[in-house]
Amino acid sequence: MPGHAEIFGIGILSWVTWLPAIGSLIILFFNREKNDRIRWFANVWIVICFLVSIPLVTGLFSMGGLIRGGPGYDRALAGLQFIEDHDWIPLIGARYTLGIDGLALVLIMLTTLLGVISVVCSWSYIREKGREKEYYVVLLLLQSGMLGAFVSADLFLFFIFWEVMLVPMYFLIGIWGGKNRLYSAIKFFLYTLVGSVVMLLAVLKLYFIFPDVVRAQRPQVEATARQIAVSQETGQVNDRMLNLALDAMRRVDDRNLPSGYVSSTFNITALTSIGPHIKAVFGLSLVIWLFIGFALSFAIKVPMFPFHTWLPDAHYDAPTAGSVILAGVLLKMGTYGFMRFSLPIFPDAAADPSVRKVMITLSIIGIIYGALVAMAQKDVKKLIAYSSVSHLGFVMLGLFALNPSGINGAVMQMINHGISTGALFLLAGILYERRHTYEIAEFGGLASVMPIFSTIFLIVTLSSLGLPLTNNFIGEFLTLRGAFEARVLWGVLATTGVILGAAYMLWLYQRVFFGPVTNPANEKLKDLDRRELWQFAPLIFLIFWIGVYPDPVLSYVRPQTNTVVGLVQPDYFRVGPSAERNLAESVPSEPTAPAHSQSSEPDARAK
Amino acid sequence: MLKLVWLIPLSPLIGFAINFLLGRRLKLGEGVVKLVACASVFISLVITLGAFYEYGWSYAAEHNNAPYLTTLFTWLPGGLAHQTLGRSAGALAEFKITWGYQIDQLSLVMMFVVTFVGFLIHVFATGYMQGDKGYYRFFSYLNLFMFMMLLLVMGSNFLIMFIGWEGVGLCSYLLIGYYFDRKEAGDASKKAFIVNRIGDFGFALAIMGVFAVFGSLEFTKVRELAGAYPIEGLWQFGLMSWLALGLFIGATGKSAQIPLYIWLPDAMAGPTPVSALIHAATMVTAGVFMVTRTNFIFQRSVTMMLIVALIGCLTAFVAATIGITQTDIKKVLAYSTVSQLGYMFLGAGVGAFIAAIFHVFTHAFFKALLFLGSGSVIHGMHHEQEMPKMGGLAKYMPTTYKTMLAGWLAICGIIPFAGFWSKDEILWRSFSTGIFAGGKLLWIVGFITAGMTAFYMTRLMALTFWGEERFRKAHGDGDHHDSSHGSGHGTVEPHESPRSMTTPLIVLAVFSVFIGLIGIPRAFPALVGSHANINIFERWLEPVIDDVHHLHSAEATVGSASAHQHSESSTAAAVPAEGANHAAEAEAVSGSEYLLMILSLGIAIGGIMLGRFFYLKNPDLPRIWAERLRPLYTLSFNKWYWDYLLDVKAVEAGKEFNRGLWRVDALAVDGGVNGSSWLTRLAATISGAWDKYVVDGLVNASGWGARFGSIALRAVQTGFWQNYALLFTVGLFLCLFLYERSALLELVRGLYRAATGK
Repeated sequence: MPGHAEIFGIGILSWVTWLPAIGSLIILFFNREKNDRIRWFANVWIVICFLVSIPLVTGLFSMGGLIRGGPGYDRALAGLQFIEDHDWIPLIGARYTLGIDGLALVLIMLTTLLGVISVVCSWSYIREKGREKEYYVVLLLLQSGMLGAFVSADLFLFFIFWEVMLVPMYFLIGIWGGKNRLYSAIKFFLYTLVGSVVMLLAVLKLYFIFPDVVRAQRPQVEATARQIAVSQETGQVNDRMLNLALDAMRRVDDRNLPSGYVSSTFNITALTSIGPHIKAVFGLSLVIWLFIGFALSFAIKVPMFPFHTWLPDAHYDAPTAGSVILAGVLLKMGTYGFMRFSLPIFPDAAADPSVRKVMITLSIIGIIYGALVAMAQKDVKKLIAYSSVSHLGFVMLGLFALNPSGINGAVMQMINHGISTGALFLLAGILYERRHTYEIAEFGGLASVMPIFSTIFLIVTLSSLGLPLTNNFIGEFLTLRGAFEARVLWGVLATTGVILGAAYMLWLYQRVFFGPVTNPANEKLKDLDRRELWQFAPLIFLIFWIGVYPDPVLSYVRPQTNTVVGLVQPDYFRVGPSAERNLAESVPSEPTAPAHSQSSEPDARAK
Repeated sequence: MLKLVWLIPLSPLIGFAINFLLGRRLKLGEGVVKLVACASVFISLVITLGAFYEYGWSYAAEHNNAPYLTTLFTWLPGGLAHQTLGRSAGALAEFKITWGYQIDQLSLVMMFVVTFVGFLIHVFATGYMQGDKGYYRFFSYLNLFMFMMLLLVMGSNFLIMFIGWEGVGLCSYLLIGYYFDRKEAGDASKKAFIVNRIGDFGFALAIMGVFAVFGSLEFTKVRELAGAYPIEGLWQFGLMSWLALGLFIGATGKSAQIPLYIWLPDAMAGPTPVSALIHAATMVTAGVFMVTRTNFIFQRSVTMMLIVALIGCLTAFVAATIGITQTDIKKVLAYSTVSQLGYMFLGAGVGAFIAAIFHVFTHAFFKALLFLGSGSVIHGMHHEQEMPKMGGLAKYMPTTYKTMLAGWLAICGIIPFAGFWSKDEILWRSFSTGIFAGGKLLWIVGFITAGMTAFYMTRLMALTFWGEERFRKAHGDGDHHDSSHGSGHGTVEPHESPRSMTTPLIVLAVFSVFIGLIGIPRAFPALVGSHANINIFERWLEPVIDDVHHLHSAEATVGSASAHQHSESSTAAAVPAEGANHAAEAEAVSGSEYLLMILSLGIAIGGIMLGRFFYLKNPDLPRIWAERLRPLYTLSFNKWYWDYLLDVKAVEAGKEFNRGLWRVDALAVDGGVNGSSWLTRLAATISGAWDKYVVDGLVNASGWGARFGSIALRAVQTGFWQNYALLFTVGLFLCLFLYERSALLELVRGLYRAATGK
């Protein structure tokens, strides 16, 4: 049974999305002199926002007529749940459709959690910096923007949220940021906007070809819609999602449509269903152009090499909360976009050998290059920022490995990067609050001055470098295994990133924490206080929980992964477990076949 | 007790959690901390012994030597996957890793070593670390190490082993860097971790490769499936060789083999119990354990077997040459560890996996003993580690001295001490190996190394316990050129260590003397005409070694003629009929075995005598010979410059490269972004100018035009009605004139005509 819950007749996804925005509206009515009240209100409100998102996982008890509960997200079902669907702009067929799949669910939970942490961690920083009222307004708005992008099941709605969340971030960096804040804020905003414009073109093109593809290939498109709605593991069908998609397709032939209305739809499931058939109607080159349109926008957001240079600047100048959100959630928008749109809607482009080769090459360059440049940094925050480039290279590598291991690993890496890098930025923020500098050379020997802080930093460092039994190992290993499966060479090259990851993180740790205290300014630094300690508690818990028992998270992700793999590599699951066949040669339909011609492979002689 | 094996790793983990989480907060006293730490390991030890008993005495016999497998939960369900390499390429497999333990002969041996030696070292450390302000931290790390190490040896699949593998690396990092306020500790710990990571890189790839080939990571499953793959001969480098290569890279990292051995000597920056436990007895032997655990892969690649043997042999030799000139007592022991590990790999490489594990086993006892003994010396000497500042300590530390004597004789390989049996077995097996030719060369190198080992260990004993008492002289100069670590204390009065430290020494000494007797080769009973196999150790471990090369169908491995009758994975002990077949052959070979035994005994004694001669009889000789062999001495003293090359030069080049890359990032990649913004701004400026001066200029021009035009108009806009009336009239007349021009003309003309009268 799909997850479902309503409070006061409004679906829970709407609550999750709009509650932070409501909070920021309320803050507008506060007296700006009453800073303590504003601060307390924002902290309590964001916790409420988090609590409201919990029923997505656990389900909700019905309490009278006002709160009509239902089960939580059902892992046996693939596709969207908690669906809400209302008319919005009938003229163009845009609807207010919300719905989340397992991937969106875990990212939403991450977002609401990091939202709490980002608000809580601002407690003393923002008191020092000033303009508290505006700060909390912007922070809460940002939260709504990001959640909206995750819950949208309508491409038009998604695009609006996608653009909207830029604005609060821009203000966060531009007003409460560091030295170069204006430069960084504008760079962030414009760079991302450039990508969005290209995506908008692709969205519109996709929107306008939808009716043609449906008319030309109706049965095939409907079959694809059914395929998307079926869970590969359990075989259960997600009826609600399927029906919405089929309704959307019916609009194409709807003779009752008033004149001037466009007979197309923005329903993402419906658009995904035409994906595999665009090639048959319009040819491969259009698919690739559309793919590029989406991919460019997402690649800037991820950011992939060579579109990454806005990231270190934005991180360096953002306030701690901004960095946490930026690393934890905003970057995931890009990878989420790839997984949600680029791969399933344009499978022919994603599986195209040359496109794939470009994407994988850029990912591997990102992994190694990001790590090497991180090693050269003299500054804690920039180092972490470059490490993000490296980590997100792993995510992209996993996605374009196009097999379940790789994609599962990539999704795990999205979450893990949010947790670990979010925590690293928090830690850097604490250093900054103490010393007002991020310069590595300013520190040294902190382990004896701040023992609790250094222990937490160590745990996060170990998680970041992917030690087994921490979260990152799960993601990294699956990703690398996926890449290895796709092509041995990719796996080998990317695995070098693991060595480099250890090198830059441990070197950072050594320079900041080991050795004698040489700088007198560091002699009397305060260790973590209770608030600071508690904001790490959930992150550290997640680091070990995902590392030791990742099954709960993976089980939310797997159905979606299987759907994507089923679209991109239609034959992937059809191969029987027969031992004596060598399918690398006998099945030409395997899309990775060209990539498999490994001349370096020694198995020929092994037989 | 087999049902309780899951508790074996868990117990130290709980100990870790208690000490780590509560040690600081509750300010636990040393008594509580050490009780928790030691008790948790003791529980593991007891269960291990119980499991040993139950498995060895009933389970193995009932289940045809099959391992006891237990699964706790599904750890990593990664979804479906394709096998991409080898025979079943293209098949669909599920990548689902369970958290399981495999209890068999091999893991039991290792579990015993880890828990037993580990427990003794815990006890030793309670005394050694007394008064240290990080007492709880130290013991929690030590317990965490026990957990990880047990995971490593007990894991039922590659990935659980890998958790332990990286986990022990972490603990090693934490414990080397235990004195984190010292710079060398920080450097050494980071170096250890990163060098190990290089090894783990190979290991991780091999794991992926194993899954790609076999579709499973369970040892039992892979061992079974590996049977379908034939042996890849010398100079062939097929799939199995690649897998073995990856695994071996991992092993060289963890077990400090060439070229990755450089981290181990630096690791001595950690507290001495750590050196004994992690960097001598257990963790560093993990590589040998792993190679033995995966022997079914290694054995299928003759090339890799040769490489393993060569690397092992070379490492043994090189490390021994370095050990000769070091002056720090722990550094000497560190290099001797590297050297002994080399022996183990030599054994594994020539197919004597059991002998290698036997050496792991005996080495764990005598090397732990030597390290703890050195720890006792360092403790007694108030943290002095330079041997030239010691001497004559036997009198002051009698218990330490006597136990060290046992360790010394064991490592030198004097019969019947533990080291003799295991080292000699390895040497003999490399001499007689049938896997590849050239075993005799390996033997010669190993043989010479044995002599060198005896020499430098005697040097260690002489400089520490015998001869002149140099510790009263402030900073004796002896033959050391190293900058002295010793701080200001000029004279020290050495003292014997407390009971908590000497008791473990005594236990280990007893084991170092007698434990080798469980591995007496068959040649010995043959002396008295018996064919009984009294090599308990070999009989015990035989089932875990795949019989690919028919290694133990007969004692004589040279051309094992009839061995082809064996099915490949036959695990039973030698079939009686065949035993008789080989008896004659075995006897013929025993002759050379006796000879080798006597030879290696001889070179050990020779090494000892030479050491005594140099360092006891003529204390001036070392300096004279160092002068005479100056180039060799410098080479050895500077560790063959490999450290310098890798740790200093390569790292510096790497840093330079990274800085360059960063400049590229700032100038080229970001330069592109900023450049495009600059271009945009330039375009904006130009358009701005165009807009301002041309487009807006036109607008303004029209404005100016209107303004100037208005000047004329303004002149007539006076506001006086008379003017307007005048204008009106004038205009009226003008209009009249314009429109009625012809009529007016006619009128004028008519008037004119009338006037002139025409």
